[in-house]
Amino acid sequence: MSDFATNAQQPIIDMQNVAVGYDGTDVLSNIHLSLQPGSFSFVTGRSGSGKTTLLSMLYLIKKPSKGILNVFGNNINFTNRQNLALLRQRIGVVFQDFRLLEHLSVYDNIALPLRVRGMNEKEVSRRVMELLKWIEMHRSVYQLCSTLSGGEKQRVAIARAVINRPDILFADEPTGSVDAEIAEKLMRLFVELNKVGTTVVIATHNEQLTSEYNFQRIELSSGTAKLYPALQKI
Amino acid sequence: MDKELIRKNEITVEDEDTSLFMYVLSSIYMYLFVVVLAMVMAIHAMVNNWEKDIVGAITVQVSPVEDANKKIDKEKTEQQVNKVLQYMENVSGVKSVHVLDDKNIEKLMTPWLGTKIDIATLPIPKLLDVQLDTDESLNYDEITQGLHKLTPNASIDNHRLWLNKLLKFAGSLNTLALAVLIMVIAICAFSIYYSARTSLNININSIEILHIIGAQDDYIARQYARSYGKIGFFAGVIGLMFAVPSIIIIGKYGISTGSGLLNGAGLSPFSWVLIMITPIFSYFYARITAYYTVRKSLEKMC
Ligand SMILES: Nc1ncnc2c1ncn2[C@@H]1O[C@H](COP(=O)(O)OP(=O)(O)OP(=O)(O)O)[C@@H](O)[C@H]1O
Ligand SMILES: [Mg+2]
Repeated sequence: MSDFATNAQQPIIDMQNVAVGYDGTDVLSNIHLSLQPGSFSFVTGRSGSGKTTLLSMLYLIKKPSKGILNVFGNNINFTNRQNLALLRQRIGVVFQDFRLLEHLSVYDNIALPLRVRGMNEKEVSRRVMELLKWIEMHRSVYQLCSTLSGGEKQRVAIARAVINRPDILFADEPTGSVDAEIAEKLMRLFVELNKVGTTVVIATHNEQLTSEYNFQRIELSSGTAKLYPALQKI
Repeated sequence: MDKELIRKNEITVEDEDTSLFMYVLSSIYMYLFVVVLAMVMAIHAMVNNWEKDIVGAITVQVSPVEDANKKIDKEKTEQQVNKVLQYMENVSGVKSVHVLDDKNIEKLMTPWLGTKIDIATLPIPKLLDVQLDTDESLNYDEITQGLHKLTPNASIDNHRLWLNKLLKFAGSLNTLALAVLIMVIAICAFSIYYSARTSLNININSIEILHIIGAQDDYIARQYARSYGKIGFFAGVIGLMFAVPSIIIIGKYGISTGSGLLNGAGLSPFSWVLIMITPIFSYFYARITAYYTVRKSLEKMC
């Protein structure tokens, strides 16, 4: 599976003439883009421009209505359900609204990506406990997610996204509902993950963020996406 | 590992509001299933018993023909007996036929009539002993009709005819009971199907999260299988708990009516074992039905 990682030339995500939308109407079309493994990208655009739509196609929940989408070198149009699930196991997602399983504990939520991969419970426990300490939630292991504060939920959501050490991490408006200080902390975390090799894609309309961190940008406007490289440091 | 860390299903049908309904409904179905199953097995045992009685031989009797003076027409009677004899010999499933001669009948009659009476002058029916092939069952209706065409004086031994009618009745009863069993099984499948689909729709959000995280359909379907297996086993046990006393009471009542017919209706130890393992059957049945419902539904849903 990770034979892909040895081939640095091959993009981790590649779109050729891709269109995506809802019920026959395309929100985005004519997309020609590729992302290199280990890259860090922002997805920007006005509200309603299609950031969430694009991301949900890239984390393999929506199919493109047109064109060729390659993820990890697999043409998504020719990938069956089982293999799609296997590809998704290599992807971490942080949603704007967290999307935790509220009736489950902090522990069970974070353990989820490991369990769907069939990891044994001992190893699951070891990894979850380690991560819980790191996000400073080890005192709330058994607490139900429905009773957590917004900031705690976000930490759990991030822990769940990174626990299986994904090859790609998507975050949709991760700084949307937190104050500047936490937003700053979060960004440092994403940068750290990127440094150890994770490809990171963050959708945001926070301009302060995109100007503060000099990464490449996928700009969504007039129904398509264009890639703008990071500015050269002067 | 800590008790709290014992993993929970991400999707637990048992906790949903509709699950109480499922528990109650499926318990009732399982009660019905077990009682009818017992009935099928009891009828089967009873029929087997009767059949043992019936096979082997039958008796055909030919009443003597009387002339205008109410005297026995020996010659005509003889002719009819021969016709019946020929007819019976050609019925498939009949091994041999022979006419019980008057001496035999005389022997049978002497205790009542004494030795001084000429038996030939009495209106005593001629008896034909018909030996049967044991493995072939006779069509009694056809024989009765055939005999009737030959002569209205010939008839098959009543007791056996009556038993045969009863056998037929038991056969239709059994078919009916089997139909009820199949219906219960089908209704259970439909109930599981619709409730699992409803639950999938209720849990669509969790399922989407599971999918995004990379869960296979199998992973989700197994959770449903676990939940429904639990419901199935529970319903099987509750149904059984109520069914066993019912079966015993019905059995006792049936036997105390005193008719020898029900003597063969007892359930064999094997039947009791079958009844006792119905919860295991319902467990696997619910599991498998839920599993495939969810697999198929997920493929259509998303
Ligand atoms: N489930 C849906 N069905 C139909 N149309 C949808 C659906 N979800 C989004 N859309 C439409 O697709 C367009 C793009 O929506 P999307 O959520 O991708 O925008 P966005 O860039 O993420 O916006 P925001 O910054 O507000 O999150 C919008 O016009 C929206 O109305
Ligand atoms: Mg959005």
